[in-house]
Amino acid sequence: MGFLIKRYMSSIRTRGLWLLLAIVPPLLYLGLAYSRIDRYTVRQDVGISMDAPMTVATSPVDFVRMSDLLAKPTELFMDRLALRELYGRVHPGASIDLSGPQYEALLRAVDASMSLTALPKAGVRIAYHGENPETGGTLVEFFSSRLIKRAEEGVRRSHLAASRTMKKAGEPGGAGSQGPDAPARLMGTMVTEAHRAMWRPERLSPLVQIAIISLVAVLVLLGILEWADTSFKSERQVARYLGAPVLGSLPNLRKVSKTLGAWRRE
Amino acid sequence: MDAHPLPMDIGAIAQLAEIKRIYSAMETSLPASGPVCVLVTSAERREGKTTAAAGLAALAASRSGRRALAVDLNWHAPALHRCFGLDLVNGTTLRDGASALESVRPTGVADLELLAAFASVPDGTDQNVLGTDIMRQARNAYDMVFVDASSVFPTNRRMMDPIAMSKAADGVVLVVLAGVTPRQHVRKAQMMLHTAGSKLLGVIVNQWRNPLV
Repeated sequence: MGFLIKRYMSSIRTRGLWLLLAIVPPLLYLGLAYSRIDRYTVRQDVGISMDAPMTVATSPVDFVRMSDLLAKPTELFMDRLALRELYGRVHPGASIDLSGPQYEALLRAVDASMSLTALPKAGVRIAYHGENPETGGTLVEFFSSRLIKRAEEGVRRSHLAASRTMKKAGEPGGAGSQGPDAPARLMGTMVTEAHRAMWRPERLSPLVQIAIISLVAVLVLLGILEWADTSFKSERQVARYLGAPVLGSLPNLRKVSKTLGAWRRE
Repeated sequence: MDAHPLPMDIGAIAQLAEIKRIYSAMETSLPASGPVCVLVTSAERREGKTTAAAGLAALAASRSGRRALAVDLNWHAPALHRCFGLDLVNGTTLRDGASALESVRPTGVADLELLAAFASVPDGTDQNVLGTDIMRQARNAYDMVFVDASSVFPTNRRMMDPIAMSKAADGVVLVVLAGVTPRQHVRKAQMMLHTAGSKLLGVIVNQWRNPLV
């Protein structure tokens, strides 16, 4: 057993470069991963002032400014009423179960993939970053229209609140006064961009697994090569296989020469 | 002249403990008295025949003042002359074994002479017959003769067949390069020697390329 282990270790030392083969499958994996488009960005710009009043999901009369919504986008994306409506669009005809896995999956998808950012000029960008461009298109379209509706409703509420205040103060004006017709509007069309990348954090686990399997495969291959090597490795093997006397061994003269040279120098 | 093929000179190799052990083990299988001719061969090329033959010949010469001769009968791929820093021999006037011995030269090692390989021989010469005759003549003229023969494989029409010549030797030593030569080839060479009626004195294991050593 000890001799076999020694042979195997020697084989690994002798054929050490073969171990480089173990990095080929991980590199192939990364190369294949890079060749595939696996991420999409779907975005829609919405023209809106940062001071525009926006309805608050939890109150029928209150409103916040667009800049407040930007600071806390979950107010837009995690709006329960909106999500119910969205669920109806994504799963048409299905009855909604708020504790069901499909609804939870929708929540997670929206939370992980949607973003709301400000544009340099008056406007915001609603974007989806994920694997499915169709889902992204649905989500972006839905939340864009949702944002516009909330802006329009927010304007209406703000005017109502203003008229109530003026009535109390005895000033002219009232519910009949209107603000601008369209406080928010779509800017351009929805844009879809495809992305690919060699490295993504979720590829670490399969990469490590592939690397380990490759290394084991190369080590097994080295073992097979050593096992298939029919040359003699010891004098004992020669004597047993040939049934002839072994007169002795010729040493490696290069090693002997070096040793003698070193010894003479000393 | 070709470069010296070995990293050590022959005198140093002959003094290695391993060579002395091989020589002692070989001596027990040889006739106690009278001239002795030992043929050194191997299953394949480059297994260490020349090193073994030169080392054993040098050791034999250094012991008890016996006259020793190293003969290179691997004319297809000669190397023994380089171990002693000598050139090949011109054999255009070669007639028989006796005339071949006229080309023997001193090696620089006391009591050891060398018959190097012939660079050319007359057309139509049967090299196996001539080689066998050289061995017989050398055995008559020296106490110890060590023949560096060619390998058993691969065979070719120009080679001097060690199997054919081995019958003229008192014993054959088979050199095996550990870690390289397939054991089946060694067994085949051994069986061919056995079938030819040669006396196999034993095997020398060359550890030059053995990664386990």
